[in-house]
Amino acid sequence: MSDIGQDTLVRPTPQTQASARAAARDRPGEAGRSAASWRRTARGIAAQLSVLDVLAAVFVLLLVIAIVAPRLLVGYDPLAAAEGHTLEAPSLHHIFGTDYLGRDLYSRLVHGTSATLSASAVALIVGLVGGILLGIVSGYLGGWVDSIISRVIDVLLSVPGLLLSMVIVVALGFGAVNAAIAVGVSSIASFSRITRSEVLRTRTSAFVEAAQHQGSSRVRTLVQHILPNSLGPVFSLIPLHFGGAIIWISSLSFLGFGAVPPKPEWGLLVAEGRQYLLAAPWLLLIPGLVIVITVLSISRLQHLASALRKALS
Amino acid sequence: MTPFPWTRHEAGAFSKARQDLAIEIDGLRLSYASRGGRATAVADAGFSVRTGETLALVGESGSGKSSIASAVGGLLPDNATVESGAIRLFGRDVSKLSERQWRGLRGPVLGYVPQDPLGSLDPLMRVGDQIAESVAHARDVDNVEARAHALQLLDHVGIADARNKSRAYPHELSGGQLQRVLIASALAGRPEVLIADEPTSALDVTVQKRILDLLFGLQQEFSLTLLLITHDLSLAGERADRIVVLRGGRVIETGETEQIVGSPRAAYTRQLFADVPALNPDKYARGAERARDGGGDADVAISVSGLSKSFRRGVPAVDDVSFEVASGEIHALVGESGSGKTTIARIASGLTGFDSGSVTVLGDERPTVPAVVNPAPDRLQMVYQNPLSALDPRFPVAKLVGEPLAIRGTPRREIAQRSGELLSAVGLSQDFWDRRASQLSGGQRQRVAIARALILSPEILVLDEPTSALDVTVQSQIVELLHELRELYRLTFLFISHDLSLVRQIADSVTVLDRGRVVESGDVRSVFAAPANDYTRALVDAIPKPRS
Repeated sequence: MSDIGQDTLVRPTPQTQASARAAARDRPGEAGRSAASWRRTARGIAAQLSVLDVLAAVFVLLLVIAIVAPRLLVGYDPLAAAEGHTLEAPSLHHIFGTDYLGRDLYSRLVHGTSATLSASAVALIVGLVGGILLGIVSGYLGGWVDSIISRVIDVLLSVPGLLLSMVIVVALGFGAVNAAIAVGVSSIASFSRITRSEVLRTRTSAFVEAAQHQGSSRVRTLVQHILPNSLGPVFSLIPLHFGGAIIWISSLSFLGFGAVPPKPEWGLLVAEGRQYLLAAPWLLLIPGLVIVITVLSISRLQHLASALRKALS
Repeated sequence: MTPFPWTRHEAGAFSKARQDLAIEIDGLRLSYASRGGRATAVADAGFSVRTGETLALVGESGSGKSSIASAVGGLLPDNATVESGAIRLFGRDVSKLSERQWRGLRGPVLGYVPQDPLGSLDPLMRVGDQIAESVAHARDVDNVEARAHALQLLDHVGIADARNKSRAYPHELSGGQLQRVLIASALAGRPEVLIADEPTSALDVTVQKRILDLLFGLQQEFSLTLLLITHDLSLAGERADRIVVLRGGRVIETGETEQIVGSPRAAYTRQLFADVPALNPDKYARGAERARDGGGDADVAISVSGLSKSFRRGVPAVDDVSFEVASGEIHALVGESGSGKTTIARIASGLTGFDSGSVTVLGDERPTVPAVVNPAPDRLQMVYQNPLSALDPRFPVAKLVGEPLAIRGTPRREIAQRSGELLSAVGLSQDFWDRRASQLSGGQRQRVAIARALILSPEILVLDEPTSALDVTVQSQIVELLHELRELYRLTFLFISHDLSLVRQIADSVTVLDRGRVVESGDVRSVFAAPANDYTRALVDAIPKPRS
């Protein structure tokens, strides 16, 4: 059972199943894929890559390096203030300039990557796990359990997400982790909705009935048949929500609900830069641009990944 | 029935120079673009249809018969290309016409009756308006007049109470009525050629017979040329003047119906006809006798008495049904759609509950509300009508078949061995064991489903239309397989089918159902030879009887 998670990421969605069927029709009797055809597929995918795809991939790679080993990218300490060098414009020494304490903005951005992205990841995991669990319970059990859970989800959906996150942060107390949890809880609703509808659909399909006709217990049927066939659409939501989580986490920090200064964090950097909008506009614009490019790159890669999945299935 | 409202429309050059050959197809080559390149659907097909005759295009799925029909009707999808060859309608090459040029032909020259009645009509438009639309297009008249014509047409194709029915939406009509609507729509332009693509394959046998009677009555009346596409050879043998047998996009054999049915030249045609149950009623007779003699003891495997079940209050789906299935026999439940046969099969399998009566399977009484998890999967197993939906799309074949054992905690090695044995027994070689259900053909999927049902060595198999989605050749292979397995494992079959010719061929005893009630029950030969009931007689009469 441990392989369900990974396995489901490359699960055949209806479209890929259809193309797999078409592919199977085209090459009857071919059990495996030869090395030559692998090469052909790889070359076909490479030929379809656009400049934007490559740029997005390079940017995400840089983000990964910034999380794992930020010192490879920068030489300055993100927290070291330098008197006499405050609010310097971008130059060869400080390519993104310096802030009001003379700290290197580029260094603060790179070191802030892990704070923002890990908070987004925590938010995503909280939302995913909570949403899937609630969705399974309400979809599979049905009846009054489903009614109660669905009404709670309705309430969650009726409050704007950011507002809800702020309420939760206030209740839990300020801080990066609490902000992440708050964003995660706010996204439970949409994950749970999708999971529930998929479980409902799968639960009534003939192969689930056939499994129980063969004596498969409820739990076994759920784990072996219903879940693997339900989670595909849920997992395809992950990149979308990850981008959303980055923006929400940054927004909460910007509003002062998240990371606490002097910690470098993207949303916080935007908030700090706002005060010097006229004197040093790069302090606001560059972190903002980084957030936008990150979200766009991730969504670009998501398209690429789904195309890849289609080509390989 | 009112007379037909107008005479043949001035069909331009076509009817003026009326020719002997209505349709000529010459060296036609047709391919479809797909992800993996181009797939050839029709390769060098050639035949012609004489004016006024009925020509049946027969073949299995994938033989290219529907592609040819679409090409003749100018209805090929965008990814299809006519690579070479010609299609001539009354001498004029139509293979390269534009959509605008086609529009002039549809109606006055060509009518098309599609396969799927419900899918071919606009669900949000009243059927009368849909016919009026074709009338207005074909005859260039205003709406009021078109509507009046549409009513006459509906009446003419045998829709009772045409005025009310013309205001109905497609979902409010039955399958037979929808097919009549489509025929009326195809006749709106008073065409000379009618293409009917599997016009009755979605209909019950008795309805099928009525629709065919209508179609051929209209053909006589209007001296239509009819191109009939069908997978049903017995139907082609009964109705067509000439038959063209297709396989893999090529013409295998062409000839007069008597000659094709009576003395087919091609080996493939002979095989095809040998597999049609309606033409070979006694194919399994001896096997069945032997199995019954071997069975000897007349234990009761399934006993149903006074069974009633309704899904909606006051509308019984199954109404006071009683019958018995002796151990070792093949008992068939037959009836049209809505007769309750599948409901009874599901109740006997413990998948659906029932309201009253009793169902006893191998001495155990079924509870009125079934358990979610089958408590005794090793006694009775059901095989579903659609194997694709009944097999988990993510499981490979070997795991699918071994699953019932895995549920019971059998060691892995033993599971692999047993599922291997059964897969071999149903005729699936090792190459297929790693595939998913979506990568198998329909017949292979049904073999997997049968292997899975048998791995726990049940005594009874309930088969819900196990071959209705399959070609005749594949159907005959599956039926053959079921017979072998029956002797091998001493099985009892409860066989649900709407195909009476198949039931006549394989079953020992039969129960005939009509709207949830048993109308007749007994030995299959005596029921079919001398039906005691009008409904049974209508069903038996509806089996096509080829001239030969």
